[in-house]
Amino acid sequence: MGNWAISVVGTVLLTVLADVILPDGQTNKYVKTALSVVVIVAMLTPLLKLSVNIGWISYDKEYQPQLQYLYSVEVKQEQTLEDMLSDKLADKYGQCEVDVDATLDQDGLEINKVCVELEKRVIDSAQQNILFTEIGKTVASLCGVSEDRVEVSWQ
Amino acid sequence: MKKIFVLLLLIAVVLSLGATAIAENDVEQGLNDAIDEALDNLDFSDVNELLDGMMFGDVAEKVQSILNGEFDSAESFLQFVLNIFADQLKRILPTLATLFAICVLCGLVTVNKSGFISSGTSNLVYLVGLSIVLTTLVAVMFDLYRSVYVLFARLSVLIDATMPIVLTLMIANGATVSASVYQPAVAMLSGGIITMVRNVILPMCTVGLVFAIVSHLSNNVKVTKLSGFFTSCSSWLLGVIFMIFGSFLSVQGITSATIDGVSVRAIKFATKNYIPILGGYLSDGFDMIVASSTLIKNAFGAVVLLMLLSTVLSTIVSILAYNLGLQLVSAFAEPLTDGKFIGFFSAISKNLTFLTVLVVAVTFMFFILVMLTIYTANGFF
Repeated sequence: MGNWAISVVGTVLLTVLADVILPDGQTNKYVKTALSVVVIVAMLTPLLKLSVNIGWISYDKEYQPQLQYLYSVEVKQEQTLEDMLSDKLADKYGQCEVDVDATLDQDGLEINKVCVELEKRVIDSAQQNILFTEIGKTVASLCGVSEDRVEVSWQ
Repeated sequence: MKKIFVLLLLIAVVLSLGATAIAENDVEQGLNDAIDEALDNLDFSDVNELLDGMMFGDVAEKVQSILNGEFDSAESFLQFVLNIFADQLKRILPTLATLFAICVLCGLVTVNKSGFISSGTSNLVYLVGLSIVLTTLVAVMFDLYRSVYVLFARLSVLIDATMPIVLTLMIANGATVSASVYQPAVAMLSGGIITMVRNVILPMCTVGLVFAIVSHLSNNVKVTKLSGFFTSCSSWLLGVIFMIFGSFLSVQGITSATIDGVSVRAIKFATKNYIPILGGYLSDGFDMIVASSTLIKNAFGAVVLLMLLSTVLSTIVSILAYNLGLQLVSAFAEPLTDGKFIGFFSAISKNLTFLTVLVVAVTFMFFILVMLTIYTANGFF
């Protein structure tokens, strides 16, 4: 671009110089006309070399989030959920340990699995099934996940 | 009995106030701890590299100081701008004085052509004066164009360094839809728009400038309309880009913010209201995480805006100083010199005005983008 501009401006300066130096007459007119054509050729030269290529306009840049930070937030949110669920379940079902496995990425926080370990007690299998189902439903609705992602077991 | 009752009541009031104060202190301390931990986990190295030449200090410290309320005042910022403007004027004053002197000399020579200077000598002196003015102005213009070209490259690098952090904080806030919407918008700005401005609009602007200079140099070569064509093309292209980008960002930004706001409020509603007594615990804990991310996002957004202003300010002020300087020289020299010089200065001044508009437009697009990311994902409380 710089070379082109210099060539055009240089050619025009030459035209002006010729206009000053040459005596008035027919020769002056012909020289001026010839130099004008040279100026136009100098101006249009880049167009002859032009090749239209818009491949340099790229929209495929991808910005990756910082996974270390998202992981730290994910851990905190898992901890918060575990504490809340433990507190809530302790009132009705006794002491229990809750382990939440979640993933925080560009699509948001997704809870993969919730494991609830209840304090061991003596109850028959029918009551155990009812208890586990009830806890599973409670935890599933609290976390907004399906019941198959909730696992309830004894410690 | 009455006295005991009043005393008990007073004790109850004092204790409740104290409890409130203690509870508020706990929340504030918890939030500060969450912010400190979050700042430690964020990687600002790419951004710190950009700040090396800007006397900004560390980004994390700057974010912390903004969160603490230590913000630069408007007066100090205005003073900073005026100082830069004054420095630029002092720098270009010798150039402007030279141009004025040559214009006046050429004007005097033209007037005295039929007097005590021969026509040939007068023409030669005029030509030399014209060449010197032309050379000076072309050198100045190319210097400015080069600085604008480099500026756009730096803006692209700034976007590439800062946007991943902003998007990370938006995702941590729960604004995943907004983050997925702003990613292509940022890519459009950095990869598409800035590239088009550098590779299409700026060259067209240069071509228009060269044709404007040529048309004022020689009476035989008339390319004024061609110069106008290229300048108009550049203006139209810039306007179209600005309109498309602004429309896309406004519509997508508003709808995505609404979707994110509804989904986050739904989470809070479900957790807080389903559990009658302890439900507040989860949403408070959730709020603490989101609040710290939101505060850091907003403070970091402010730092990005400051960096943006620092990057573009010196270039814009430089262009404005030359533009005003040329118009001043043109105004003072008009009664004393040939119309050719005034035509030169006028053409270059118009070109510089468009260059200013170009820089301001791209900066404003970036500004809108950062402001939208700051204000999105804030309405979750």
